[in-house]
Formats: sequence, structure tokens, C-alpha cells
Amino acid sequence: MPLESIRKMVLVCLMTALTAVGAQIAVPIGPVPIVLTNLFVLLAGLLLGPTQGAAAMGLYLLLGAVGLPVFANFKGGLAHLLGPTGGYLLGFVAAAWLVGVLSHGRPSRWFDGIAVVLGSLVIYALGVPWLKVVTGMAWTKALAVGMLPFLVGDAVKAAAAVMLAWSLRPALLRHVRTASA
Amino acid sequence: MARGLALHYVPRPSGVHRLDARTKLFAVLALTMALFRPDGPVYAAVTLGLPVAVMASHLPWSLLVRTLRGWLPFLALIFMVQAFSPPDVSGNAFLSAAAAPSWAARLSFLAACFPREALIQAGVGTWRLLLMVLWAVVFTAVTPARDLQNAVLWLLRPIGFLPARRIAVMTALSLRFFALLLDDLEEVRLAQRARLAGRNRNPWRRLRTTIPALFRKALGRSEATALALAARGYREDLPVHIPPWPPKEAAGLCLLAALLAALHLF
Repeated sequence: MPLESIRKMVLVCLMTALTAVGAQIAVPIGPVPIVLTNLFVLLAGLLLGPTQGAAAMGLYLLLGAVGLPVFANFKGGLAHLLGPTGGYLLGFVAAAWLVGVLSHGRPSRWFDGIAVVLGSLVIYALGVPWLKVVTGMAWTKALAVGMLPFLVGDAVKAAAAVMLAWSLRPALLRHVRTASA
Repeated sequence: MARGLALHYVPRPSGVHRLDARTKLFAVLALTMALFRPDGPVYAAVTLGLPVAVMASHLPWSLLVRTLRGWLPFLALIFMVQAFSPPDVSGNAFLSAAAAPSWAARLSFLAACFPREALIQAGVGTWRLLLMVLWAVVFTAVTPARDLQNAVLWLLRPIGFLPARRIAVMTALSLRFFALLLDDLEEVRLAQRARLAGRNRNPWRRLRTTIPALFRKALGRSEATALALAARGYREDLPVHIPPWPPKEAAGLCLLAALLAALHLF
């Protein structure tokens, strides 16, 4: 297997591991203390592009599903995928892919901003209907429980993802260039 | 921080543990799907089956209690939101009723906010959620991660462009990175504390200093790992051995599905 492909594969694993680490970092912002999982989901799309970003998130879900403690507070297991949070977790894959599609090859903060906003909305677009189906709640209640309390935190995370992507991209590009030389 | 890493598999010498991971996975999926249709006999069967499964697999009850404790705030919130049905009054009337001077008036107002039907519906919904979570916890506790990984690879086999060997290697690599990065994070935090950066209470500023440092450390690790894999001649054309699914267990699973379908009908 060519070294370039191995490097890409290892970078995907790295982003998966960073997402798992991010899930253990709690930040007291907004009405609900937030964990940084979403931040790394958006970063995966911004830094790795659609295919590798979605692959990193797919791998993250696989690790969690097989019971490895990669979800928030060192939790893991199928309960998180089949339970009320399953939709949000599946939304991670779609969000990373969408953010990658919208931002990759377009070095502009505006594109990145639009991408992370839409990416965050995709997580809710899958998470809230799943929560509604699993709990049997009405739409208004599902939105009140599964979306509204997290909006402030998610806005901060989306902004942070764009800022961090712009400070991390040079390091990533330098790393790729040095490795290829 | 890596000390917090603990697998959720509980090894025990039980028949449930010896079952094929695919059998257990499909059984839990069937039970979860059965819970989606509100049906008394199915709820009763799935509820009674849970303690039977826990005892048959010799799992400690504390495992379920611990899980329950973790999910309790979320379940309580779901229950409250589902049960709450505000009475059809104007805003001022609502506020004045809520701040009524006598306890009897307040209690009757509370009863109006949480009607009996809504409470029952919320109770059933929360119970269903709890059953889903607990069955999945039992499944994770009786299935080794490697077996479940093989089961997932078996499921992905029909999708030709997903190489089974690559997924297996990536899973192992990610887990190794996870443990290393947790320790790197701790190291970054200690270094910041030594430079008095830990005194800064602004979470945004702390993020801006922590994550880039962690990312740069991680990039260094990734290059070393990629070179090590290449040096060892990593290749993907080597087969991954996944044992065949025992036919007896597949037949047993079909029986379970038929039983659940029959319970739905009667």
C-alpha cells in the first residue's frame, strides 16, 4: 500500500481519536455544559474533507457501538446508538461529510462558516426526529428537549471550529508537505 | 486520564457470553424494534426477559443500577416534558394560578398541568426508553469488543468498497491514539498550569491554547505511525478470518422474531 494512502488512513484514525478525546472535555458555556464532540465533528469535515471526515466519524460510531468508551464521560455501547441519542450520533457522519463538501477546496471563512452552520443543523435534522420517534414526544417537546438548550453551545462550537480550522490548517498542510518531500 | 478507559465488557463463564455476537446483535435489534409499537404483551415479555438475561449471563445487578444512575437525569427530563400539558388558560391566569396563596390551589393547578393520561403515556414512553437502553447495556456487557467488531465486518462484507482489514486496523489504531491523546491532553494541561495559563477562566481562550497544542502533538504521532506501518509492509490483501454464523443460533433468532410477531398479533 502506498505511503500516501497509509498517511490518509492514519489521519482518519487520528481525527476519530481526537473526537473521542473531545467528548471527554466539558466546557461550561450556555445553559447546558457542553462537550466538544460536535466541535471535532465539524473540524473533521473542515480539515479532512468529505470522504475522510465522514470515514472518521463512521469509525467513531463503530468504536462506540462495540462498547469502547469513546462517547461523553467514557461511555460506550449500543445503548447510545439505539437509544434517544442515536440520531445525533448518526448525524455526525452526515455533518462531517456535508461540512467537507461545502468547505473543501474553498479557502474562505464565509464558506467555512456556512458549512459549519449547515453541518450543525444536519445533526439536529437527524437527531430530533429520532428522539421524537424513540420517546414518542410531540414535535414541540422534542425540539424543546433535544435542540433549544444546546443552541448557544453549538453556536460557540461552530464559531470555534472555523477559528481552529484556520489556525490548524497551516500545521496540517505543513505536515503533509514535509511528509511528502 | 487514560486510566478512565475501561471496556464495558464483563467477562463471565455463561452461555449468553458464548453465543455468537451476530445472534446477540440481531436479538437486541429485534427486541428494540418490537418496542416501537406500543403493545402490552410485548412490553411485558421484553421487561420480564431482561432480568432473565441478566441472571443467565451472571451479570452483576450493580451494572444495571450504575447505568440507570447515568441515564436518570435524561429519563426524568423526558418524563417531565412528556407529562407536562399546560392547561388552556391565558398567560396571566397561568401565572396567578401558579402563584396561588393556598397549597390546595397550587396542588390542583399541578394536577391540571400533569393530567393522568399524560402521566401514563409519559411513564410508558420512559419505560420503553429504559428497556432499550438496558437491553443494549446487557448486550455490550456480554459481547467482547473483538467479536462485535467481527460481526460488524461480517455485516459490511456485501459492501465491496469497505475493506474489512482496513477497518480492523483503523479500529485498533484509533483506540491506541485515543489512549495516547488522553495522556497528551493531561500533559498539555499540566504544562499550561505550570505557566499559570490554568488561572485563566475564559473557556474560549483555554480552548484556543489547548486544542492546537494537542493537534500538533497528534500530527507528530500520526507521521511516526504511518512510517512504522509502511516500514512493516502494511498490506490489505490479507484475509480477515470471521467464523461462520452457527445455523442453530440463526434458527433460534428466527424463533424469537416469530414469538415477538405473534405477541403483537394477540
